[in-house]
Amino acid sequence: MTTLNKNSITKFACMLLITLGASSSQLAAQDLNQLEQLAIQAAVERVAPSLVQIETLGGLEKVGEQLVASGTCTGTVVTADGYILSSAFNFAQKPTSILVTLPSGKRTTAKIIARDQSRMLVLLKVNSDEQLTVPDFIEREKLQVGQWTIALGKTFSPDTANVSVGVLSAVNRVWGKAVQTDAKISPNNYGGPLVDIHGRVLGILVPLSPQAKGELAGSDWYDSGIGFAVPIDGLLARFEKMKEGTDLMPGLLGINLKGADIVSDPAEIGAVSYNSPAQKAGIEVGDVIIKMNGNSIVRQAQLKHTLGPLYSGEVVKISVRREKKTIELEVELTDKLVPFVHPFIGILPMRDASASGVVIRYVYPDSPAANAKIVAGDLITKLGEKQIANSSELRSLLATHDPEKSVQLTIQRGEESLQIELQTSTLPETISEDLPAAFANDAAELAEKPQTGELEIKLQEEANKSFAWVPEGYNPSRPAGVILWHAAPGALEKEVTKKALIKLWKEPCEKNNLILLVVGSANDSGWSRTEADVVRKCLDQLSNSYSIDPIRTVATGKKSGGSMSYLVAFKHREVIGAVAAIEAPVPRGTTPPDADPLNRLLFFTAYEDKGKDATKFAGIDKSLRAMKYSVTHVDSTKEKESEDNSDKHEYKQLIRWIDSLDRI
Amino acid sequence: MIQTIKNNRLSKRILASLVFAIALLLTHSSQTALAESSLSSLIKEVQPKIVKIYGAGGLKGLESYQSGFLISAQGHVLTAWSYVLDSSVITVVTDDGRRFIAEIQGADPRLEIAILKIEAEDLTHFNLDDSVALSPSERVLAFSNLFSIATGNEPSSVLHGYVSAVTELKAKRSAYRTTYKGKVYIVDAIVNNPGATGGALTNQQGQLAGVLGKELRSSINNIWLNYSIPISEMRDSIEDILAERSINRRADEEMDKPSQPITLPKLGIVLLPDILNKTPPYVDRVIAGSTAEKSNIQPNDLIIFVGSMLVSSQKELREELSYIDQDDLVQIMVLRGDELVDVTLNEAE
Repeated sequence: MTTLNKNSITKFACMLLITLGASSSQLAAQDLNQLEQLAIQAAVERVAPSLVQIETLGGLEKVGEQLVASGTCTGTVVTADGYILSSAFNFAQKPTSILVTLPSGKRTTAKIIARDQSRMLVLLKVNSDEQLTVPDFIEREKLQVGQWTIALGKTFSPDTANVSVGVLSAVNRVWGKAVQTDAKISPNNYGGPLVDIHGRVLGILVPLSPQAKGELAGSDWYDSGIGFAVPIDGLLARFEKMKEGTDLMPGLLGINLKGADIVSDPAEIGAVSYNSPAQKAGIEVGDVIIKMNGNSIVRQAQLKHTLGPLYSGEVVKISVRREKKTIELEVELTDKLVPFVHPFIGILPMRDASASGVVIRYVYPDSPAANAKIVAGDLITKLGEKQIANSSELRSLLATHDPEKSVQLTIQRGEESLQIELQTSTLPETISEDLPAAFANDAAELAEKPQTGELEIKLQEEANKSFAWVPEGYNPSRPAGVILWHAAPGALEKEVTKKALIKLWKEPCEKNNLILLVVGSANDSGWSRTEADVVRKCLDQLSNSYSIDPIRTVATGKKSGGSMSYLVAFKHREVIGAVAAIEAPVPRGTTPPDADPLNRLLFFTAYEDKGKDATKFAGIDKSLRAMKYSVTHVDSTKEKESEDNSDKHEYKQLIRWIDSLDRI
Repeated sequence: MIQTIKNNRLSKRILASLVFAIALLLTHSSQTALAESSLSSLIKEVQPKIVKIYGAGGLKGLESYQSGFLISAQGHVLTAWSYVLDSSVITVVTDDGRRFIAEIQGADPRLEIAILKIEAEDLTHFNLDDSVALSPSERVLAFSNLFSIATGNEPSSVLHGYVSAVTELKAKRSAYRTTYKGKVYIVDAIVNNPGATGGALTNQQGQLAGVLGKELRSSINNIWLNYSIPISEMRDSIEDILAERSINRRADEEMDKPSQPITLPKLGIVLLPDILNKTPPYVDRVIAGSTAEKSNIQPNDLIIFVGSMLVSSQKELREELSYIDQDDLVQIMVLRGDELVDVTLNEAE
């Protein structure tokens, strides 16, 4: 037993002695609860003078699908001369004016001075000379899971704080950026402080999400018992910079890791972004990061934890293992990486199983390959000095090739061996006319024929309906592409929708070795973000029994199904190669991830160029292109009304586009 | 009986503990036992006062059950006025599992409460005279049959939490679509669940403080609100219903509006054209000789408050003015550049 415990027990004993006068055990116990409540109230009173009510005026009415308040929210005083921290959530609607009611009751205007884009905080300065009360802060090192935490806001009244009580659930969450509490955290207290039983501030309450980015990320967890507060001890050192108006940005290294399982795979570099801090420091593909800032790194998750809380401009010490040597490096993190551009040499590979190189199926006119006189039927065997076994190896080797240097290819044409040098260009956005067949040889004979036709995909724990349609000619030796169709909400209730979908996709599936996988929403009223994981499960289930090709797996759908396709592809890039969104926007509040050398994504959009939402859709195409993605757009303006989607121009184009997803 | 035995055993343990405490050898377990026993015995005292109510509903999203609690030994049940009571047969199941057909004694739709009557005697009940008012960060217990989890003689469910705030729903006039706009306790436990409506909110001594409200979400930010209506707000109504007097209903909010309200033209303020759904109320010009001119309202002023109400659009400004009589003073606050300026309009000559 520790001294601390003895102390508290002594107090308790004294209390018992006092209450013994009333000779009632009930009363004694009641007093313990009373004391607890008094302690909580004292803590609230202690920090209350450092809370301000913020009112925002004007700005957007909606951010994403979410309504946002033009109304009241909370801020926490951090300096006596009028600096206040709040949550970026409260300003997502970009208000035109910000008013702050000071603890004295005086109302004043305030301005946003700087933002912390890593922890989603906002620094405000009020337009007043009044001296403000700075609360006491407690360092993160002193926190213990299980201790009392009290979350405060000033949403309901400028005079009294609103309170929620809970315990500290974790001290190191969202990649080291936050502490976690089970007190109820919501827009009612975002921007307010989380305090301990002595009224000392642990951190500022904000919504956060380990995966999603943006001001609203994590707010769907409001009042759930999972709430976050950002400790500001790490922030104080950068406070002067923020006061000058400099935003704090998350620190980026510019690497991609090999493997997808962050809790088991080592931090082996899969790709180094061009012109990134990692590249400048000499980090190479194949290096394994084993230490960062003194923390040993065995698994990728540890790297994320160490890197997560760092800001741009910070210098990190990294140890990498390269073959048998350990190399020590120092890298200064950046806030922005040059977007990765996928290289293109201008060919489509044959899809026959191969181990000795890539046979060319088609050469794009005017492409680097065409200009270098490469022709269909050529066999690419080497890139530089490296032997190439198959098309996916060629694709990933090219992706990590320095884009400023030319590419040396060794090509086998009949008996002849040729050395060809070419400069890569960028992925084309036009759709090629009729392409030659993708297979030269007959598929291997099968001892046992796999199940084809319509099959139900069942997820025991989910309400979503799902089915697949596998073409007659499917052969496990030939990985099939997948048309991952996100059905309109409620549509799968009707047998006729199912039939229409099969009818629409049957022919392309048979012709181009594709499997149709249809997933419906759990709820008839619409898709929800979290269902991206359900869709993934359906895809995983299909890939358990069928051999599928991720680069030719296209997430697609119309309207809300199309928007869902974006979400699924952004979240599960390692199993999806393309998105085809028909009359569908990227859901607002969702930021597309940066282009990734190892997990390529291609985009196809179809909408009416003169339709009412054309400007919105075109804006999305534009922002994806600005991120250096290849976006193929087709105008879907109807020439004639038709019940049957299959004659529609945009579907014909889409089917052609899908057959060229494996271009290199 | 069981209760007594337990208490005896407990007292013994506490006595024993005390001896150790003096010797500074007290163990943790006795503390724990104490804190627990006080709450659990108290909960056992409160639970017999809670009833389960079954009536109309059962369609999608509308449950056919709610909660209520006894306020007299003769079977008066206080509950929420809702569609569940809109049924020819209302069944009340008491804590001991007995089923009764209840009559509606009366209701006050403005407060969204109703009193039911069942034919029974000697029932354990809350004494309304012992009810208490709560303040923020007080610990509370919420008793209800949420999600209709309990049936027959199963006791009701208990949730614990803290009073988050004491506020008025009308503080955000358009935010909540309820008839009741008065004072509420906002609670940090998730108490407003299907079926919890009409349940009891008590302090940690088990004293009655409020009736659990309906499921309600803010139309401004879509956040679910967990609230309870204070007993103090409804004492008059309850007494009127129990005495079978007709309820002296205060006029609803629409009726609060004066017949001749103040308007922007009367003040002499011309705003920028109202073209958006939420056009901010910027002053375009001020009519010469008007009260606005006398009070030095200037073009480009942004009107942000009328009295204590934040107005973020021209629509909200007009709505707020409609509550003020044309002869009364109008207190507004404008944003002029970076300065906040208080202005009084409509002063008598």
